[in-house]
Amino acid sequence: MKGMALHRLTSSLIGTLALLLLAAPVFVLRQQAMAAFLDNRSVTIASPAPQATTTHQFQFNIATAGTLGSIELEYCANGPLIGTPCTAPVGLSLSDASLSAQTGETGFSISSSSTDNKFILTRLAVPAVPQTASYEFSGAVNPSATNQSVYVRISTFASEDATGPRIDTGAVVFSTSSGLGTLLYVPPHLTFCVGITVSADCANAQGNGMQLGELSATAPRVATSQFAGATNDFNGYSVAIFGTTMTSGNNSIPAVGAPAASRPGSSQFGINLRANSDPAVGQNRTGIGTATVGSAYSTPNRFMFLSGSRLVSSSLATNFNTFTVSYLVNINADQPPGIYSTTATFLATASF
Amino acid sequence: MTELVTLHRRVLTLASISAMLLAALAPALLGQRVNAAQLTSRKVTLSTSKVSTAATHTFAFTIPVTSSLGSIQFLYCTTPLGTCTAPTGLSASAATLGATTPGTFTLGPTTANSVRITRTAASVTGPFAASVVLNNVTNPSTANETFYPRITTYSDAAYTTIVDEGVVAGSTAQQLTVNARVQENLEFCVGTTTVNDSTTSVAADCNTVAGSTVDMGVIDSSTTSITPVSTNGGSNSNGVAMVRSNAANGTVIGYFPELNAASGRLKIAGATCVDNTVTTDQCFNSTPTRAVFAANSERFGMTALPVNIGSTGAYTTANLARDAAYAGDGTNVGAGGGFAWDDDATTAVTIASSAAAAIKVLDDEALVLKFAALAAATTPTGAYSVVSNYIATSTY
Repeated sequence: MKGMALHRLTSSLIGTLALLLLAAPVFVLRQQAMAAFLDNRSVTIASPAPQATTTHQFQFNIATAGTLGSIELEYCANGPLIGTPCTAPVGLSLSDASLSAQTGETGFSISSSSTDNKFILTRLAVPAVPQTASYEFSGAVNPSATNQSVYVRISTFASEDATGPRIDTGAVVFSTSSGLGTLLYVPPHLTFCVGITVSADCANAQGNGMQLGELSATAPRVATSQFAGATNDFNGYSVAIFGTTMTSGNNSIPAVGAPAASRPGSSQFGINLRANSDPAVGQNRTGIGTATVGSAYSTPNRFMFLSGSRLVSSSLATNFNTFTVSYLVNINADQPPGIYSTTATFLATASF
Repeated sequence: MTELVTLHRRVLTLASISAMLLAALAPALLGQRVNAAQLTSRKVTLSTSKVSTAATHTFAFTIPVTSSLGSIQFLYCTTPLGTCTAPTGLSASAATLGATTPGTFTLGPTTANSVRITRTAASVTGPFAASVVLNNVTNPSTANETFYPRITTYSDAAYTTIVDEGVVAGSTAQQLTVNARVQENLEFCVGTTTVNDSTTSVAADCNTVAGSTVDMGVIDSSTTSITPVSTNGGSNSNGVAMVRSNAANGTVIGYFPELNAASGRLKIAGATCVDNTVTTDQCFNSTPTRAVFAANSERFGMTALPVNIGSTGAYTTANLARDAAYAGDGTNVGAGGGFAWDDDATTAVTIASSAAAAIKVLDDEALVLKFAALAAATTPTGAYSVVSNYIATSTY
């Protein structure tokens, strides 16, 4: 029978599945509406050290207006997905923590139903408005593992005991980490240099001999040398001079035994560590250190020489100072001829 | 006997006349379906299968033989045959006519479950592939329900003489929603590394970052020592902090020194520090702003090399940006050099952040931490140390 007669239907059954695919790796088939997300959520920990007793501060935007009676913050080691089994991080302890600050939706206290890995904040259920809220917990003990990610699942409830439907949800993550140590060693040091001239930090020292020329009974002969030093010895350092007076065979020029002025025509050998005008020779101490000239050698225009005597000293650790040694030689008319010389040895000493 | 035969013949004649009359009337009694053929290769395509939704129904069918075509009816039923019951919720009352082939049709009368279109009757040479688009047909309200549009073509423009017929099927469908969630992720680790640039991979991931101490060896006043230090007892290493996070609002990496005797300076353990000008206490001086260490001064500090993306596979430009205080080039020279150390910090001091980046997520970006130290001539002898803690804070 044609027209509406019975015949084999070649129906083209068309159905369309509308897939709203978001992302891998977890898929959840749902028939009911989802809770809203807590936006701009974060947790700030004061210390990341494992097992540290520290502060955890949570901040998030409450998304949904309506009655709010409790907030649940559950710490898990295995992931942030609310509604799935939660493994408490090993070593974590919230039992002795306290709610030290709250902003936004306030009036909460820690419920007695809280556990070692879960805070339940409770208050009289009242309407909440979407806003930024923060909650700071002091005295939380971090998990014991280092470099461990800890997931905190956050949910809000209309009920006062965190039961019933979740209103807003979200998770945050923090990580423990061990500290990074930085080490170094500062050795004891005494830096000392001698030369005709030296640089302020002893990087350079030049020359080791002085020529006084022909000695005269009518005018002094002078010369200079330098030394510099620094130390990190708490007790500082000292410098002494060792040597003999100017000598030529069995003949010598007497050393001045006590600070005295230059007297041409009288045989004298002496030094000081000052800027002099009579004769014009030498300069004062330079540098930022704390070393000073010993009293025997610190008077301008007064010279002496005593082997083994202290030239300078510092009673504490000191940066560099540069000292100029002025040498003075006078002779009388009867001074036997010859080549007179001396070798001065400067000895710096620090005790650590 | 003759009367009986005559009567029989009259009856037979009457019967024949009746049969002939019935045959002549048959087309009229049967709605003029004489010679109606099947439309072939027929289908309806729905723009959406969502229930109670305005959809476009596109009909395609082949007119099998040459015939006159003046009008077409589309009748929606719950069954392909028999009495037509309108599918619940379906409405064609507001349907509009889209493209048609052959030729141009105009929309005729519509009801809740029928649409008629018409044109000036004209011959169509068969087989002919025809199509009709009906817009704004509201789908039935029951999900996963099959409905049967019955297509009838007419030779005239007034829906009178049926030419061809055919039934197609469409179906609503349950909407399937798949929800998926990428979980919040933060992997952060601190250790030591021999890497001393911004391109060499520090480690494949946090699982292979190790080490807890950077040893700078022997320090004196002659020159500034900068890690990695390989001589005089140095460990030939820098520090490193590596982070992976999918926080859409960015991640901040900060540090603070552990306090020893109330000070976060590089110091001999237990020593009491004077201010940051004295060089004779057992503490290295430092400044929270980046500065080159001057000769003959006493200084300790840290900087982070330009962000290392040697382990990053997802992109080629770092999303972390260093804070100015820790954005040195690793040298102690010029405007780009220098080091900083905040020894008074009681909360984390920011070293780097992705909060201001266009893309804020991080794929194993690393901060290679270089430490520098210069002893003064008066810096007391001894072993100096400081422990620094690093924190990554992600905002989702």
